[in-house]
Amino acid sequence: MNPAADASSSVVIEHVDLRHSKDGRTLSALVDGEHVWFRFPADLQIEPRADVFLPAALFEAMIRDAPIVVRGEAGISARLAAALASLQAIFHCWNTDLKVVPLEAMTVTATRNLPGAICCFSGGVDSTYSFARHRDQISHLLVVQGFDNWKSERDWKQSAAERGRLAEAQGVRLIAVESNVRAFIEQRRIYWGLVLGSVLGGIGAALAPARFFIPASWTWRDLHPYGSHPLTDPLWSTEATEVVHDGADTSRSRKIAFIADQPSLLDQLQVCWNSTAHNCGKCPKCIRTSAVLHMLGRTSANLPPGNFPNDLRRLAVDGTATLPYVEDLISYATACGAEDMKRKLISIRRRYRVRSAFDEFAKALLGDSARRIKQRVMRREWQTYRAALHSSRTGIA
Amino acid sequence: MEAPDDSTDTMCDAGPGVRDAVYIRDVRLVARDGCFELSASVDGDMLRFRFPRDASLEARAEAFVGPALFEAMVRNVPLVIDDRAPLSRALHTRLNDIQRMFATWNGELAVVPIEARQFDEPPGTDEVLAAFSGGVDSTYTYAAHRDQVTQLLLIEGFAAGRGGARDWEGNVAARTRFARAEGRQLIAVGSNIRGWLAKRELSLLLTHGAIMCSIAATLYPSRFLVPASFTADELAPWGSHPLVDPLWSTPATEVIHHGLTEARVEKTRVLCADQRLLDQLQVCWFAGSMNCGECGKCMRTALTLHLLGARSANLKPYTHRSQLALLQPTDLAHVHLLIEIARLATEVRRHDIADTLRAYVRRFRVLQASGDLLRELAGARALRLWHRARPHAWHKARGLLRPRTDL
Repeated sequence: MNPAADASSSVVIEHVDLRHSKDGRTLSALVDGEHVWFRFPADLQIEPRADVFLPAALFEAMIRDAPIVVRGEAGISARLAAALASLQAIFHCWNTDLKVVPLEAMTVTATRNLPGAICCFSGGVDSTYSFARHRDQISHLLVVQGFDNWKSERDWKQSAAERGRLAEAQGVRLIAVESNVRAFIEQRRIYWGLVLGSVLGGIGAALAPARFFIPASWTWRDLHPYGSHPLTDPLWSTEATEVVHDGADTSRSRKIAFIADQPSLLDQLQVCWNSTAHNCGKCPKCIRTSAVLHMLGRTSANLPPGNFPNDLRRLAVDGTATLPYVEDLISYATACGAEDMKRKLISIRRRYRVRSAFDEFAKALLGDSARRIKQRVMRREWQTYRAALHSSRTGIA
Repeated sequence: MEAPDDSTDTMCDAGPGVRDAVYIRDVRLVARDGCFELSASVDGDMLRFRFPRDASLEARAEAFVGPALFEAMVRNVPLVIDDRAPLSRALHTRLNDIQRMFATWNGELAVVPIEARQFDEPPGTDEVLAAFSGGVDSTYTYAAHRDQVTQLLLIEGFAAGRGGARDWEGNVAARTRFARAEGRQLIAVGSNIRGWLAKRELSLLLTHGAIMCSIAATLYPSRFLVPASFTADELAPWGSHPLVDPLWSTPATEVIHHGLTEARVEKTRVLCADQRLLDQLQVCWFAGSMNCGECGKCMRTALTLHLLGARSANLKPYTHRSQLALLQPTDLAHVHLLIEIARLATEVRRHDIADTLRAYVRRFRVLQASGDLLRELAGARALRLWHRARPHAWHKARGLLRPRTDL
């Protein structure tokens, strides 16, 4: 379908349907004319509400400046519906191309389906830390198809199986949710980094536990527009569920140090950019994890130990989102007295800063026209998105 | 109301173990000089807040917790509150979260224990209190909640100004006129807080949100509105913050950080619908009771009003392009504001103004990038020598928004 075909009309969520089969409970709907579905484990209680489809509809509607209409008897949590204007106002503030749109839907009071807490869990540092920190509250771990390495069915199956083994060993239950929502978002050319927190929030609303932890990727010190954010995630709370953006008070290195004291969690760490099933040990994310373990004198059975400080050269600092990780490693190396690591990291940071200052200098000197020419010549993937974290109309007037 | 003395009185006997903890002692509420004075010895120095006689308050410790907390965090010592002045149980619990936020921003600040007698506070009053300096942010927040707000809060030591007591009196008089015209109660809180902070070299940029919220907690409103200074896309460590301010909520008082998603130009546009709101605007960098009309903040407000086809009786109007020179940005926050105004200028087809502002932004970016480049090429040692040659106030400050190593 062509998303722009009927740009002025509403974005409609309709035919919300809940079906039971031996494979699970599938909650599906037509969202703006396309079939979007989520498959939950068969024994979980799920209400046929439309909350879980809101993220898919929301960004399409905000891009088109069109109302969201939920047809039929499937309602939206009244609390979530009330928070939707605030949620949109924040996204609009980040990216003024996204407009604040009305919602027409029947509202209902969400009821709790699970008494405990669910923690979104990829096996990475942030989610493992949140699980470890709130171990006494967490009854379920959640993995959702479509996050890392989303096109590989094999990786998804393997990753879910490994997270399942950990859950069993830890005495909690794994909820593996399959879905085509990522494909829907990608097909609409909407940047996943803008949407991911909302997708998790919507799934939290469908599962309806008492608490729903979304592990933070950045600390309060390094906040920037991103789809999962301490200002936006809690707005997905319903009458039944409190959504918590968790762990923004702890740096990544401190999280790793905390995990390192729990061998069973340390040995399952899955951090790699290249795979969701194993760690390559060479990508920047593997390196920044193994670097901390090296300074701690620890190893994870699931992560090659690396050769430090030499392997630090693999750290790719390519923007303000990755710089905080290097800053964090510098602080940690300082605290540990790891002088060789610190020197190397400072040199990496300096190289980035020099390069970045030079880029900024050139950009400021050459102005918007040079930027536009560069974008035309060197077209990058983000330029093909209809919506990202910032407005596509940069420049000052 | 008589303006309080801007100095801090050192107590002769600060008590035993003063270096091992920060103490809040001798919390007192007395009627004095036509107002209620809430005072305490905080870390050995008298801290005073003077409330109007019609304010409803008790001799409790909340008002002093905000400032005392930072002294304790800087020194990494417990904060101990006199048993005779209880602290809200809910706030006591939240203070840990509040500290964690500040400690995440600046690892030099420690999370410290708070020792206090706790009590379950009664329900709040029916009042809705809004922090109000008369600036664009606070006037916008007031306008957005005009049907709810019953009280306006003005705190001495917060507004810019060089006029001391006279400036504060003028500020109170101007805000009182507006509050009366609107049928609202102005709660003007005289204070020596600025002197207390200065003596300890604690930054107001770090502490102002906590001080505001802890004073509000003393007044028990059902809601307290804190106007946002920055929008959601430019969040950075700052004393008043959308993730920190609400943590000061208690069962009695909901603290709301408001106006986070509206840009300054959009806020001003809303104010243009009501001349009374415009005529009381107080935005000046150099005065709390009148606008100089010549500083960058006065000028960018006057220019925004000019582009929106509006005027304020309290602000010299923008008249000529030569005045734009006052708007040359000195930091990134100013750049954001200039970009907003340039967009407005384009919208109303004042391309001459938009082009000038665009040129300022570009020049600033070139200078900043070249400075950054030079600094990085020169390295940390050269930077330290530079700082030694040209010391700034923050070089010796003890409580900052970020760790010293970042600066």
